[in-house]
Amino acid sequence: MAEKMIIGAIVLAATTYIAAKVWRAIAAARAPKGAGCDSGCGCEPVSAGSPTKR
Amino acid sequence: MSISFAPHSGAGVPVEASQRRIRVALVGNPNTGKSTLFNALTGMRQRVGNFAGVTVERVEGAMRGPHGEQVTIVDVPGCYGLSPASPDEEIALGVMRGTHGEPIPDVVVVVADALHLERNLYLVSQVLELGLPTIIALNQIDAAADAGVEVDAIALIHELGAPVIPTIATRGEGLDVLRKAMVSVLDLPLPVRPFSLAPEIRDALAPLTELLTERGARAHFAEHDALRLLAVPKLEAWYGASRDVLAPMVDEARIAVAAAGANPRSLEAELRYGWSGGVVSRTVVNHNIGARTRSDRIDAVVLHRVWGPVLFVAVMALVFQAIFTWAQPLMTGVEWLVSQLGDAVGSLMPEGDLRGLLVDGVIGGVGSVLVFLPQIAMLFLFIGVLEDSGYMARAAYLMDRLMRRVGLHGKSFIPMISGFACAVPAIMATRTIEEPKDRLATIMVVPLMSCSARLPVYTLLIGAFVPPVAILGGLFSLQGVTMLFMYALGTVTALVVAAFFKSTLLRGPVRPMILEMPAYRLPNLRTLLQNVWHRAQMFLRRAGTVILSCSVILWALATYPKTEVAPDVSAAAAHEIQLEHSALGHIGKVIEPLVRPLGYDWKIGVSIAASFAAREVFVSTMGTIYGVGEADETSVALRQRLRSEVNPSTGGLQYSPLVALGLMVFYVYALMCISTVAVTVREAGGGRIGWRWAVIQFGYMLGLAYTAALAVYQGGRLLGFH
Repeated sequence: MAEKMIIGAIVLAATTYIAAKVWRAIAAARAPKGAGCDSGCGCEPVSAGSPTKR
Repeated sequence: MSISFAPHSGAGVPVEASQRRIRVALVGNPNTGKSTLFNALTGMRQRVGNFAGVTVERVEGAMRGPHGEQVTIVDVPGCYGLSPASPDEEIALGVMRGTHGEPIPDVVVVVADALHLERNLYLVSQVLELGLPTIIALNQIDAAADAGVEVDAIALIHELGAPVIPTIATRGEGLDVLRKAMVSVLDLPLPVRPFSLAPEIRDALAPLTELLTERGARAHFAEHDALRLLAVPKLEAWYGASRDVLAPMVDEARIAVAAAGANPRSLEAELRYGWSGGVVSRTVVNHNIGARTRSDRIDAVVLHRVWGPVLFVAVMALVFQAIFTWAQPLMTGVEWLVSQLGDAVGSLMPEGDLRGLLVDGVIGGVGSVLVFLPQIAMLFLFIGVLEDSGYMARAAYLMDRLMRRVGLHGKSFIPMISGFACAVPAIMATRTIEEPKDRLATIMVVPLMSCSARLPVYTLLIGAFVPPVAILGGLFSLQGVTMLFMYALGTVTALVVAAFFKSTLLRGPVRPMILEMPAYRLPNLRTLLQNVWHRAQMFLRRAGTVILSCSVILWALATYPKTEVAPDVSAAAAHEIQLEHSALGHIGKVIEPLVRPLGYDWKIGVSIAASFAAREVFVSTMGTIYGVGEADETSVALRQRLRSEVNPSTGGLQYSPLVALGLMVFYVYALMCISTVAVTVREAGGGRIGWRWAVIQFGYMLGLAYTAALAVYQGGRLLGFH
């Protein structure tokens, strides 16, 4: 039973993550003109601080 | 403790230095080293490259001033002047003028290339007229010295009335002085217009200047804008509702200026270049006038009418050959590590679904993608070398004739080449293209360039089905040539599709290209390795997030519901029965009729469907499918599994080289990336218009992918291949 609950929680977390990712990607389409990459698209710069892109 | 005055808080209000906030804009011509300087000042790792148009967005970073001031540095796209012709230049001007809700910068640092000072002074003169505290960072003085060019910085300070600081951003030289100057410049008098207008010109512009002031332009901007409006009608857009009033006034000003004996269209350029020519004659000594530089000598071969294209094809062939063969030993090593990890975890955990999830879902799925890390690193190493050496701009020049033949601007080639890495920044790189129709046509075809996410799919299928036969006396192998063919197929198709768009929906004139050729230089090893590491990190992050999550979901779909299997059935048959009766199997059977004409079974069908989340998920799904139910066996590399997979109904091999070729062609064309769709929506105009173009792009690419894969498979069968 415990094993099934752990598996259920992992699968639920993975599904939620993918759903959030898809939602963020769609939201990025509504970003203002001139904006940069959405986070996690695979092309954002690595920073030592916290960059802001618009 | 140091006490000074905050620029925004009004003179005379003492502020503790550590609480003082200063906003600095970093502007300059393209390829002067702004982003390198930005990285050196902020510690960030913004993308840099030795060609114009690397930065196409505004990026902010933070640093501390000499007394602990909180300095925000804004890196903006390169621009030749403050008269925007393309979207990236509009972003630069927006930052300088504090439009779109941004504060006007407290300090402007103009990064000027010491080797090409006369051209850079054009922008400097425009920035000085903004009436903001300004510093000139005279960058790349080492390259100038190597070319025999000597700049007298002190004389330049007197000429410009603003601090001039020699820097070598790549080596961090001059940065301490620059940091201090960013604060101390606030206590200096503001710069003034470097040259004055003749009284008759000023009189001719007076009504327009007055109108601009009435309409909200700050006093020191107004005359400056009036002069620019004579030649750049697009600036009218900055005054929104005033446009209708402004247009006739600009026409009247042009007539008045013409009556005063000047050409209104070229007046600004004549005045500014006249001034900058004078400044350079007094401050710069060139010891090598007329001498052929090293870059000129290299260009004689690289840009040669015949040898140039031959060299380009040879370089590309070498790159893909190297990606395939050089990375192979490392890839085998990672493959071995993943299989060892799977076996170790499998032997440590008790039998059950949780072990299946970890071994088949997580390690099988993510591991099957991770083995391509060496190839990804190799691809970015080569892209870095091409960009950093200065060859990328030459490749764009070589391609210009071909691009114009298909109706595209030569500048479109750089975003297209950038598409080999990732379509998202490549689509953003189209901001450098002035003509909206050219820009849109480029956006529509950029995803046809094979991005790094396709590399695992190609490598898996080539490694499994294409024999390593030597070609041209062992110089190339059939596997490397197949890889090159996939990249070439995407590129050629992109050109054909662009020609189609430019002759139908996006018909428009083809404009000549003016592209700056940067000096050749040896790529900086540290920058190269940093870039490769950055890309490897992103790949690992993607594997640990999106691909991991997809693998977990697909494992669950392939494992449940459980099916009772008779005890006398072999393990392999039991595995197959469980898969077929799982949720994934049911979904696969629904998809199968669609993909059967392409020669695919339900497993490939479901892997293609899953890869709409990310292309690499195709590989991880296959890894999960072929791992499920086999945790007790020794893990076998996915490539070997695909090669030896038996069709249960025919007893023959399930997958053939023909199926693999059709599948690769499908992946060359299909647009399976949500981020690319989103960025297309935004960059194609946003809203309903943006979505319309994104739907057209997605639809034509999917149609092309299906048709081409069908043609390969059915055509191949007709020719006797299986």
